[in-house]
Amino acid sequence: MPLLTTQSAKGFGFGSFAAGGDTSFESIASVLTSSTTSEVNFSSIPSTYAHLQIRIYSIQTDQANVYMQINGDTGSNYYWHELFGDGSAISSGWSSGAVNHIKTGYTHTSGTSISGQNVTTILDYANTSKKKTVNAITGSQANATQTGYVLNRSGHWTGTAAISSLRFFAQAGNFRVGTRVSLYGIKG
Amino acid sequence: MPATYDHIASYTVTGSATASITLSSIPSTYTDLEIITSFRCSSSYADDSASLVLNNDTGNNYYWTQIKGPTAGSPYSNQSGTSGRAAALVVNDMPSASGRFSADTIHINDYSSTSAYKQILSKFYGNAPGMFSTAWFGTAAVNSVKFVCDTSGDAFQVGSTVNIYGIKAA
Repeated sequence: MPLLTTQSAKGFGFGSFAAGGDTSFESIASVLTSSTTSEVNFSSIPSTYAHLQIRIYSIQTDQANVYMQINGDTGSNYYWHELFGDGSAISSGWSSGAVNHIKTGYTHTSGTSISGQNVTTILDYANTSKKKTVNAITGSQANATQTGYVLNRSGHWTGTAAISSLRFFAQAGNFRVGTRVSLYGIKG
Repeated sequence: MPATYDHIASYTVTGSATASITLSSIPSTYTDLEIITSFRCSSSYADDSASLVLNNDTGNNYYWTQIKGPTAGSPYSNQSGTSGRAAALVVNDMPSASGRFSADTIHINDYSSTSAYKQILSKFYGNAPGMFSTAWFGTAAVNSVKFVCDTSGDAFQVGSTVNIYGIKAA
């Protein structure tokens, strides 16, 4: 059985599927926060899949992005790009050089009832001859008087090692109770 | 225990066009929903849009932001405004030509959570690509989805499809 806590999850144990289910898309681990949490970590990610998908439902203490780091690398070895709309204009941006994270999710307010939604895919995460590329779609709509954001993001990590761990943390503040980060493996 | 990625339900328009497509009794046993749609709402009016009603809530409880790259002109972003809307816009710029349909993916993460308003994230491709991020100001678990064409009198053309998948976290 996977070891799950509110702050970390080890990725193993994915052998329980109902008859007729599509086992090409498998749950590796998931964290549902039961207290205010600064980060969510997945470790011991098996290298037996072709791709990884992370699905985030984040309720945050601050209006902030969700950052991702790979294999414990806290150095400036990441780049990101984004296309985003705020309801009045469409814009694009990038990390302006190497930074220590990839942008994935986003929550548009610090309110307890507003979430951000994100689907992130990491392609060929176990291929040791490739720098890892990430794509992400993200949205968060706050309320009638605040503008929401919709974002299409990409990023890459300059490392070529197989990805065995992932760290997710807010650009500012923490994850509130009820935040869920789930990790899935997609077979080739 | 459900499989990780399960097909829950589907609908295909056959015979004649239909004004709406409803899939109900969605089980709450999954973590996220992924809905894949292929739509055409009219055989004459191009660039039509389609919307999603959750749990039959037709109050002005939906707020959205969009980015879109139109076939002509510059890409832009707009939003629903402060009065809200009676349904979530999820598909835009559908084709009208015979044999052409949109290709769309809609995500509703933690659709059974009652702790926060639901967020709907959709990517649509038809005459133009784009994305919607929509909040539904309801906290009930999502148990039904209803798709409607936005232009009065339009209906989902024969061949339009909806497929719902449940994703179950560990």
